[in-house]
Amino acid sequence: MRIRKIVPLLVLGVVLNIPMPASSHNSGSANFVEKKVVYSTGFRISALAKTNQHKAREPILVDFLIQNVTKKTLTLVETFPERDYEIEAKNSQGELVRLTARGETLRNNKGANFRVVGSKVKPGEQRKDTIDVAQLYDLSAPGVYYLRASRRIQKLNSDSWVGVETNTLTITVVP
Amino acid sequence: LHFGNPATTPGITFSRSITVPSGFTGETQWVQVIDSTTRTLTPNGGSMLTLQGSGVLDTTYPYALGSSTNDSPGQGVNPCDFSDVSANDSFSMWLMFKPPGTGSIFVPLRKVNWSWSGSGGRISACNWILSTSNHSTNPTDADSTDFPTWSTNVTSLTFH
Repeated sequence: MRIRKIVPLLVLGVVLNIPMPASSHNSGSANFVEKKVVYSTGFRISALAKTNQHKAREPILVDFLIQNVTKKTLTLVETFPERDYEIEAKNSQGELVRLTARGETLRNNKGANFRVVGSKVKPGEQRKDTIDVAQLYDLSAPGVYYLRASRRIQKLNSDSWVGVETNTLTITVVP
Repeated sequence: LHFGNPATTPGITFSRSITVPSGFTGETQWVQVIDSTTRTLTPNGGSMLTLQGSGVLDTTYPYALGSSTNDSPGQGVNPCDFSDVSANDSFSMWLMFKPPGTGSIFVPLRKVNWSWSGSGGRISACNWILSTSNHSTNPTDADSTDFPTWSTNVTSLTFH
């Protein structure tokens, strides 16, 4: 094993409040915003549920896909899926759903990063992460829920970052 | 506060060069254990918050696959709401190997210890300076027969 390089780079940066793009519903203006964001980062992200109906207190598995839509290899920064994708869950009244203990822990320690890996993603390559959303949010009550995630991605040829949002998933929890 | 930039120049990069004898095959993986970590955050006008742990898995098992990987650990802080931040982490990274076949397991090949630390403080409304910094420089790896062990995952640690 060789430690190929270790750089003397220790930086005190600032956490920026990045404005999130508009929701990616199917309105013309929203699509415009999404295309603009995808173009600026080179990545497109989406969410896909294996099934839309789930039994209460059972895992709710959602696949999060990220694809390099450019013609050149890009670097993707990864910690772990539950951190990389900031998921928002709302009920049918539009209220935010209560976090589980695990969800609270992850949210409260958002700034503590240990595994931070830069990995190369080839043109057209797609990565998939599966997250059990029921581990993060209390989705035990039967009803309809709306899930959406955002991921912070570095802009192309820039040091700045932007939040890219997935589509919204509708999940039904049955008794 | 972060060690390196994962998108451009990671804090540390690990790579392997392995020769498997003719007629044999196998796969490798990377596993990282945090030997110790202490992170502190001080909110404006508040008491210092501390996250501490030792002998914990670094986030995922394995840490990575492939012939190389990297790490750029850091501690984020809202620049306007906090006055001080610090991090002091020590790690052990293992290169593991598994031969093919039912019942085979990953065994350690090599191990390297490394560390980084730093601290910073707010000097005006939302502006900060780096106060101290330190890190391993080209740490030496060695053969290893001891397996990585851990008590919990670092993602379960919280600030108190």
